Amino acid sequence: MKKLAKAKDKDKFNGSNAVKLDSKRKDRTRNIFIFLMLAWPILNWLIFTFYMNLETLAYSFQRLNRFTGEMRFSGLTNYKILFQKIINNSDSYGTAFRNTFLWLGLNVLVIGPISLVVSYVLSKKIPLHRFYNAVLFIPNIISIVILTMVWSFIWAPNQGIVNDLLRMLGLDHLTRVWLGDPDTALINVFIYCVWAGIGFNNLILSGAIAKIPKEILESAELDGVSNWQEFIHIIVPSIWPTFATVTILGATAAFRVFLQPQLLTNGQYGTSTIALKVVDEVLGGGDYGLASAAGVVMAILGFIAVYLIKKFLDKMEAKWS
Amino acid sequence: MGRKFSKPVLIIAEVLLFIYAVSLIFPYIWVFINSFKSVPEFYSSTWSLPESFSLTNYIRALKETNMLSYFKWSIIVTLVGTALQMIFSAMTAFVLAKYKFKGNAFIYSCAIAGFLIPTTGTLAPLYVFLKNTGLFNIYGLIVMYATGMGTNMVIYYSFFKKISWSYAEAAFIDGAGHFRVFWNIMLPMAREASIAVGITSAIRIWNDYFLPSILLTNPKVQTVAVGLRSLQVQQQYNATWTVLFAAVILATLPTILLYIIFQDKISKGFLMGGLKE
Repeated sequence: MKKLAKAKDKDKFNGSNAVKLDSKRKDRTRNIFIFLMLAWPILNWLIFTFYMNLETLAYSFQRLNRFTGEMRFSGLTNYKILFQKIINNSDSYGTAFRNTFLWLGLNVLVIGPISLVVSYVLSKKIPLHRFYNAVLFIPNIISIVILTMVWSFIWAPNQGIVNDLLRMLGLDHLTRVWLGDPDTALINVFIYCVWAGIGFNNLILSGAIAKIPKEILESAELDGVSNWQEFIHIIVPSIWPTFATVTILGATAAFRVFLQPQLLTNGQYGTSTIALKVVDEVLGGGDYGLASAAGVVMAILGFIAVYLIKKFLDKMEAKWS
Repeated sequence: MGRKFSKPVLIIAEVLLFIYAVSLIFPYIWVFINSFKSVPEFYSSTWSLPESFSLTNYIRALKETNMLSYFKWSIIVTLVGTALQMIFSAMTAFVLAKYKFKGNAFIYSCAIAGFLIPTTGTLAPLYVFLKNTGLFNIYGLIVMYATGMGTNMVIYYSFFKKISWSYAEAAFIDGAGHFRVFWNIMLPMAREASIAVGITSAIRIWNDYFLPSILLTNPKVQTVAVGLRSLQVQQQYNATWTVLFAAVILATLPTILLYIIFQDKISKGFLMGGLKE
């Protein structure tokens, strides 16, 4: 403070030349400040985002030499292996690939729309709506480890809640090893994702519905619209940008899904995904090249899918505005 | 509110939502009740109330399973990780929102592009990098949490954009430096953003499983999520489920209590984060 005050005093006597010097010095401290503030965040980004993505691309063209422990350029070998594995469904790569797209459908066509209906219903402030809003959000504050553990207690074969209920109702023949049966495992993991996934979307969509001007809804009510008409012609168009965000988030998430099948079924019984295959190859097999090729293919397909969905969502929005 | 539902629609909606809500809560009640039973009692009947509310399982969970250590490390990682994430996100956002310089817009778009790319695909080089740099431990975990260019930055960014620069100019005339303006004037004005970022980051880090499960290979240094998972895997051989139930209740109780107390703030924080993505 004192120094600055002194410098200012000096400026008064030395005239314009000193002012220039002073502003130069100010520019320098300003630039140093910008540099210091951004140094670590940018370094962190350069290492963990930029370098990792670039290196993944590089790895996808290399194979590990088991004797020297070095990665060697190998052209498209990894991609060839990957596509062969997908086509022949060896190590259930084909299933994993298919499941990733099933998840895309689940997130975009099932969880999104269900969440929209739920948030519409709750926007009517029906009895217990506060309780529902609070409870539906619980999966977002509890670790996925505990959530999947509790889910596996529900569906456990012997002391599980569902099988117990079925036995009590005399429906013994319906009891199953739900998460250990190829017929039910995948659908069970999907139901888990719906069960745990509505709360977050509901929060965001409810926020958007609450912002719709009251007058619009009131005048529509006076015109005698039905709930269905209100939902389709007022609610959906009004909150479409938010619904589009939710849908895009769901679509991107579909290409990252791996924890749910990993924690619920270890990726067995036909529940694996491409992302889980990447994790398995790195942590289990040590095939970094193949894992990276799968990662690159996943990113490209994810980008194309999200881009197309975004195009469609924008087109719908343009239609309404 | 618009048009109200007719009676039948309302009843159907209430029934479905009620079943859904119960399915979300009941498993914890079931776990809670069974956490007081002995193992044979649990196997003979999972639905009856426990013969006595003995705390044996809880004592065993605390003594035999490192629960206290898991909690200690979860608290450390969450506090440090959240603080660093908040500070670095605020720093980046402040400079990008308030200072004109070459590359400003470019850095911002890099940040956006960064969190749109799926991260799982890059696991192989990440794994190799962490192994080679000696970061395959809790320090590596903290370094990875200490980001300043994620969604948190975008939340801060939109707040700083709204704050008038005249406050800063007044402070500059009083002789304050750039950092003082940031720390003492601008950051306190973005208090709402700090609350949102703080709460959501803390919950995310506390609950994080994947990164810690890879990096925390030392059994003495593990977080609650990682520790519980290894307990669950062990149970498949020991079959002392009731102890696991007690551990689950111990791990969930603090979160649920905090959620009940701060429900509005937590939802608001997530709402802000969700919309800015």
